[in-house]
Amino acid sequence: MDGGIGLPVTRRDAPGKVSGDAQYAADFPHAGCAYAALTTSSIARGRIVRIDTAQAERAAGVQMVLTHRSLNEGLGEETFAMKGGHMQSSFLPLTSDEVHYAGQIVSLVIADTQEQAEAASRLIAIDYDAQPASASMDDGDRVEKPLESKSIDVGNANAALAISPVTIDATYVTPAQHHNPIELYATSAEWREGRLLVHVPSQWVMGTRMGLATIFGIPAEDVHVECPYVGGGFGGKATILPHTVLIAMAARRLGRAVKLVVPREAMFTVGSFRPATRSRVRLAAERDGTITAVSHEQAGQSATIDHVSFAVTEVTARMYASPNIRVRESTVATDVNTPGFQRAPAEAPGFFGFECAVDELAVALGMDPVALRTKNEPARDPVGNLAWSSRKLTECFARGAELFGWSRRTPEPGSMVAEDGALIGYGCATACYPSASGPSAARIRYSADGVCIVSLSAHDLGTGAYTVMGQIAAEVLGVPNHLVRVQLGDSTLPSGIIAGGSVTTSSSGSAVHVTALAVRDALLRAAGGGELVDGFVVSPDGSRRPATEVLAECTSGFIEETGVWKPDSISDKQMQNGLAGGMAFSSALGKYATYSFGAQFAEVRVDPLLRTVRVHRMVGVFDCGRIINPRTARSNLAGGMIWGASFALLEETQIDRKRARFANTDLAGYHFSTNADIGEVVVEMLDGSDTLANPIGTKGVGEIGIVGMPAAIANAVYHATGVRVRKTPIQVEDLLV
Amino acid sequence: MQTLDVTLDVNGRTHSLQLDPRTTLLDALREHLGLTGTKVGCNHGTCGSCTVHVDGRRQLACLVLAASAAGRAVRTIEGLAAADGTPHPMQAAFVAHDALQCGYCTPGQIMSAVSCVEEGHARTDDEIREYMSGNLCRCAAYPNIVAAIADVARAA
Repeated sequence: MDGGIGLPVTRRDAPGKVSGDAQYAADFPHAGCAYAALTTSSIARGRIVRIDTAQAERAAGVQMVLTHRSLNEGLGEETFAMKGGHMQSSFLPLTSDEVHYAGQIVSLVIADTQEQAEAASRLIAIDYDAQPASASMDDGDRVEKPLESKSIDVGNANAALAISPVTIDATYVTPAQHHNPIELYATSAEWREGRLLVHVPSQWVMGTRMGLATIFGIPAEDVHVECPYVGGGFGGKATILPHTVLIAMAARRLGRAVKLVVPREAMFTVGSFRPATRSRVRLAAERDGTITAVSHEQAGQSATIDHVSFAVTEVTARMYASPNIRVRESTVATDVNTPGFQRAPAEAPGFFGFECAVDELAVALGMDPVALRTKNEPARDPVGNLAWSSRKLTECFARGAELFGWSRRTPEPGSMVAEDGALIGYGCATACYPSASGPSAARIRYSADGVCIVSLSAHDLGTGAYTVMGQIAAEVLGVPNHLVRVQLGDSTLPSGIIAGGSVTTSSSGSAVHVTALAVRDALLRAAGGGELVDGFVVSPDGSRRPATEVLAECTSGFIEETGVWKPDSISDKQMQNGLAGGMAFSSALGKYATYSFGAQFAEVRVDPLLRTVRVHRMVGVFDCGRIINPRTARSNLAGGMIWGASFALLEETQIDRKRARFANTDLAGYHFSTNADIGEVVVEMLDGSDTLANPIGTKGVGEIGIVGMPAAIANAVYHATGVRVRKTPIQVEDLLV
Repeated sequence: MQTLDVTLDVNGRTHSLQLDPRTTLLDALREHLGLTGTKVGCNHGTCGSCTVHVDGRRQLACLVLAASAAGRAVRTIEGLAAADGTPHPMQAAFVAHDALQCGYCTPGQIMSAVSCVEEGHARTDDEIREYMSGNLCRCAAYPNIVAAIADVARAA
């Protein structure tokens, strides 16, 4: 058994990725393909009063120019993901003369070649009637809108804050950020006899299929979304981006395949992004470190065109045992493209402020930050009094502190100095991410040649799903790893789940598990009873024969089963909707409170004069339930931690407030970690299956890695310098005080 | 349309193309020769995912006009394995060290990594980090990329 659960099986998709054979969306050939180029609005709000496309239309090779004047097709009603639809935004560009945000698509040129399309797109002349606009939630005219349904009150936090001997009251801000996957957004669309074939990088091929079918008024089976590999998703490719609809429409009108590769600059506005946040955190404690009140009020940036909220406080409210808890959420509408999911959408920004405040409380108490967290570890969910399905946060901190060498830390800021004179800072923070799941199907064919094919329309964004799904089947069927094949990322396969919210392994992995059990049972029935042990059928009389021998006796030469799994809290109706491509998730709060946890540590080195910050090393210890593949899980968690380091020190989509637009819209201006920015990264995962979460005992892995890291680094910077920076990214000028 | 006759030598094969003079080497490889292993990530020389070898040196194919690559030896990720299909040691090391996640930047990383070792810029981990920082990896497989390159450099 070399390919079962818990083994560090080599990534199944790696050979194709290192050879260049793996085909991403823009790599699929389409015969006779035309190429598209976008133009986007230069103003942030107002109307298009004149658009002159004559020159562009006359340019060499141009086949079509689409603007709001030419787009008058009756399209089916679709809305954006947070209203139950599949689109990134409820607003489809080119459907009116209105401009709602800077960088909105205002025309699409289609020509015989890429070069012709790009050249012609520059010939389009547009006059606007520009109206005042705000792209920053800090602009003076913006209004904070409370979301009362998100409020939580336990006891009386305000009263406890008023009488407790030690209190913290601080406000923390995080900026807008962009996913910036290395793979650009790209869409190729082709119609063949009324059926639509789309190649698009997608974290949700079934949702994309359903949405496009609705928009174009055709049956879902007539839409084929093929996307075996995604070149980085991080939430940005979870929904249908508007240009995919426009490209499909252009392809239908032209009767020809059309391909668009979105330029990096336009990536900032034709998709979504992580909205800015502002968190006020108040904490109170007795002098011995017993927390008496937790209060977290978060305001998040939203859009004028679509209301978007990522409520983190329902998670932070559950971090510490406190008799008094008060959380509030609000949003601030701005004139920007609709924000969306970006890796740990609520948790990454929300835990920055919250876990920095816990560090500030530790300093105020004169207490070790690990000890403070451990002392206030809640035995049950402090809001709803639910039992945890599993919560090994204290063990995470104990093991993390040991791995990191936390005991070497001297608490006084600036008290640790490296040989080269750099100031050393040690910091830590808690990470947590809700472990949800949803319905999924899977198909497994086990053939007489020993090959086992696992097929489902889930996705491998680099997360390891190709490897993990096969391991789950191999575990049940005892198939050697080299005979396992996995097919993902194609809407013609049995319905997998959206790759979002860290749900893939728990949901689609559970579906593969129950399907493998069905194949095993069918195999044993065909064998006339017995047990399946390491690929052999062992009869009640003790005789053994290879499973492949039984399969060879089946008329078809294989056994194939399609199975479905859903969490208990999801109804059959919700399941059907989910399998068809709708959104259907269980909550982390059901019979139990189900979350992944982590303890994260950082050592920074700060130049005493220049105040540059380097992340010297990071340690993360996680409780994510059962780990199917420690190799791919470790890479995923380490990648998340490096995202956290980027978040803390580098990432910010800067806003030109006067012109209400994003300013640094390329990879020269938008910084994230390069190889030279990252030192040692140590990841450990605690053993332990959480079978209260699902039958395979897993919790989410994909997002928790980032969650605690920004605060751990900010807390380390404080420890190195004595300067408390309550914003990200932490930059040199913040430390020149 | 004005076109140029361009002869490209790619992975030891000669290709005669009629190209728009504005065509980049990247688009010639991907859109005209079907060599889509070389990836497009920014089109302005900031991400490294289009890294290829031109006359044995790493170059960004998005910043090279196809016409200017005429008569020069271009090598792409598709030309890295041995003739019998055996992966290049750097390709094998990337698999062995899990030095990739989504895989999109990987061809560029590998082409750059091969050069990094050949240039003698892989003597220490810190040197590898520095000389590989023109290749962005958003999944952040950096520690494993460094381990893979160090492994190959030690064996070289």
